[in-house]
Parts: sequence; structure tokens; C-alpha cells
Amino acid sequence: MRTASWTDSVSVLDRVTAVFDAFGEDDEGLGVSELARRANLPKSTVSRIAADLVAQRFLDRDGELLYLGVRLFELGQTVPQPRMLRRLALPVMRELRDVTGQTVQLAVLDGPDVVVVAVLRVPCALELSTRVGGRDRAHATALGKAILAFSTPETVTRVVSGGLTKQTPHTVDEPAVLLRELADIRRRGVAAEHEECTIGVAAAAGALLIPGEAPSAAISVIGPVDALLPDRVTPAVRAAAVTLSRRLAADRAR
Amino acid sequence: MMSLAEWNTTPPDTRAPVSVLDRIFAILDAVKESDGSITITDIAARTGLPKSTVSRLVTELTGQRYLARTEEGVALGLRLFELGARASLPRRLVAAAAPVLRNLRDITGERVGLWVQQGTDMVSIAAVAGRLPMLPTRAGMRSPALTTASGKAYLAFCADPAVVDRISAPLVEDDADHFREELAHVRDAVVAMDVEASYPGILAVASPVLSSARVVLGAISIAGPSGAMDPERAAPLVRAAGSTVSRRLAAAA
Repeated sequence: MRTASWTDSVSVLDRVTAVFDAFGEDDEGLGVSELARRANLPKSTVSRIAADLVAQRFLDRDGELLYLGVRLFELGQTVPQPRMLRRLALPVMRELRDVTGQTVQLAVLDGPDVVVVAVLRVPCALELSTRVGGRDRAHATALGKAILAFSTPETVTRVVSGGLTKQTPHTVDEPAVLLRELADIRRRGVAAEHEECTIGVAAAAGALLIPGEAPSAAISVIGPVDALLPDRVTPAVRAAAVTLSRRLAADRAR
Repeated sequence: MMSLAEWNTTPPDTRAPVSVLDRIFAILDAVKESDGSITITDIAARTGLPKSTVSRLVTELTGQRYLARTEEGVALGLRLFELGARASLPRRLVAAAAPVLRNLRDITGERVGLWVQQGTDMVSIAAVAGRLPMLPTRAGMRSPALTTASGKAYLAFCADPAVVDRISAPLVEDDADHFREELAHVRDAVVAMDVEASYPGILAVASPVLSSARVVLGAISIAGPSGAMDPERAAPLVRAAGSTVSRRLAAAA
């Protein structure tokens, strides 16, 4: 039964989420008015919520400006799945970066998106927008396609029915084309992407596979289209994905 | 098994948070402290909230990905990971401090950490392993601000007396006076020490990280075995590291 307090609690969390999501990816501080405008909430409401969130350091205040706070960092560092993956993946990621000379990413599937949980960078002519905590549409990235290729048909159907939005003119937006590509990835073991998420950027990714489990993560190399040579990176990505899958399975068995 | 009458007359738990927001915070903390997965029943026990309330809020938190369902109950979810990665202060501090932390570890061979204050604790936002095992300083872990070198380095430069009062509240009479004196010394030396007060066998030395407006943002610390690490040698190195990070922050702003 939906009691009064039930409705209240829903709206409190919704309002908090709207405030958190109002903060962009570029780390800027926001005043209460701007926060209210972006969260689409009355200024008085935002002002009250912000005071509570600042008191608990879910937001940090510096003068008039508010920032996402230290408490979120602390909770974020403790989330088990990324923490476990990072611990196991960092040595493998380092080796893949050294072998390919390109930036290496690790990501997990979350609904129709992939969320980047670790990045090892190399100095790069192109400013790559990849960063930890960043989110991209799964169908537009090598990481996402690598995972979807080995996912259940239900998972793939859910992503497809959510709409294959175009990130660039090169993004695959036809369900039939995507399904054919996923079948091809299953055969080759590695997913590729050329300017499908960002113009000028290419990537190759392999899913982390544990027998009997649906895949939830993938490892990739990413770099400028003219520098990322498929023949050179594909075997290295495949090998890294296999090594990391084995480490995951061994950790699971312990 | 309780009868219905007893159930109805069970007095409300006085520890339990009252506002919806405080209840949400308490649930997130209970899940965090479980360090993995936790059941609804255990969350209710830890927070003092009725199981029905916990169950309802957990459903909401799971729906918005703050929590994720697991085989054993619920765990912290990916939305917290994303939001945490965007938290401003840790991100700016880590960006400015990363090469300085590595350099300090290479020179000394000891464990190096970067800390920010939260509540009555210092929270680790970055750590580089030295000869001590990593426990208990991986990023996201807490240490008491009152006794640790990083806590004292922070408090000595903290301009908000309410924060210092709250954290030093457990101290009475002589202990409180000694603590004030120690903070005054830390202000002069720009370095704080913790000789086995927080962790047996471990010596730590820390120095504050300040913004361009001289507001203290956190502290950088080095920790090693108390018999083997020389605090007199470590102090100037940590002090230099703190001021280098402060300078790099000002340059990045």
C-alpha cells in the first residue's frame, strides 16, 4: 500500500538524485540557483536538500559554490564490483598498455550503458574524453559490443529495444546490423569500433568471460584512428581479456 | 515468536534516524560497513529502523542504482561509483598529488597517503604501498582524526573551531590542553607525528595540503615501522611534499 510516508520517501530520493545529476562531468561548482534550474526543482527545496547534503558531506561547499562531496568518493571507492575488478585488472592493464602503447580502459555493463571503472593513459596527440566513472552507450563502444556479444538474448533485446541512438554518423543504429556484428565478435573474440562513439577515436575490446556466468565487464585499448593498428592491438587485447578472465575465475573460486 | 499485541507495543528504537534523508544515509552506511553484501534484516539491526522501512527504501535505492541486489542481499551500486569518481575535492587533490606521492615513496620506501577530513575521521583518497602492508590505508578507508598524524596536521590548520572542538570533544582537562599545545607545535613545525597512538608499531608523519587561499584541504602522510623509520629524516621530506602539492593545486586552479 502506498502510504503517505512511502510517497514522501520516493520524492526525497528523487530530489536528491536530481541534485546529484545536475552536476556535470567537468567538475565545476554550482550555486543553489543554477542547481535548482538544472535539477528542475524550486530553489527553496534545493537549498534545504543541499544544506542536509553538505552537513553529511555528500556535497562540499566552497563559499557560494557546491561540489559533489567527499562522502560520495568514500562510498564510491567501496563499491564491490569495480573495486574487485580494478584490483585484479591493474597488472593486466599495465601490460596491455606497454605492449600496445595505447590508453587502456576497463568497463562494466550497466543497463544500456558501459561505465568505465579504470583507465591507464598514455600521452596522446588526441585528448581522449575517457575517465573513471564515465558512461557511454554500450552499442556505440567496443567495450559494450564485446560484452553484448556474449550476453543473453534478453540482455541484447533490452539494449536494442531501448533505442540504438547515434553518437556519431558511424554509430551502428540498425538492430540487424548490430546483431550480425555481435555474431562476428563471438567468432573473433574481439570487438572493434571506428569513430562510432567519438570522431577520430578507435578502440578494440575483449569481454571478460567466466564459464557459467553472463559477462559483465570488458577490457579495451583506445586511441586515435590513425595510430590504433588493428593487426597489432587485436591479438594483445584478446590475450589480455583471456588472462584477466582466468584471474577473475580463479578469484571467484577462492 | 512475538504476539501481535507485543509487536504493536514495541517501542520505537531511539537510535533510529527520523528523516527520510537520514534513513537513506544510515542504510548506505550500513551497507558500506558490511564491506560487501548485507541482508535487509542485518541493515535493520544495524540502523535500528523497522525492517519494513528498510525494505521499502532499499527497493527505491536499488531502483536508482545506489544499491545493487546480490545473491547475499544488497551491495553498494554503480551510481555511487560514478558520483564518487566525480567528487571534486578528491579528484583535484589526487591529480595534483599523484607524482608527489610516488616521489615521496621512492625516496623513503615507506607507505604514503593522501587524506581529507570527514566527520571525526580522516578518509584516505590515495595511497602508495611501502614496506608496511597496505592495511589500513587503501583509498576510501577511515582513520580517527584525533590521533593520526594526518588528522593532527589537518586540525592544526583548520580555521573552523567547531570542527576542532567536535573532534577533540572526547578529550578532557589535561588531555585537552595537551592536544591544543600539540596543535600549536604542529602549526610551527608544519608537520604532525603519530607515534604508535593509532596503530601499534606504526609511526606516521604528516603535513597539511593548503589551497591558494591558505584553506586546509587535506594532509599528506608517510607511515613506517616505528623502530625503523627515522621521523627526523621523514619530517622535512613530508613538509616539502605538502607544500609542493599545495603549489601544484594553486597552479592548476
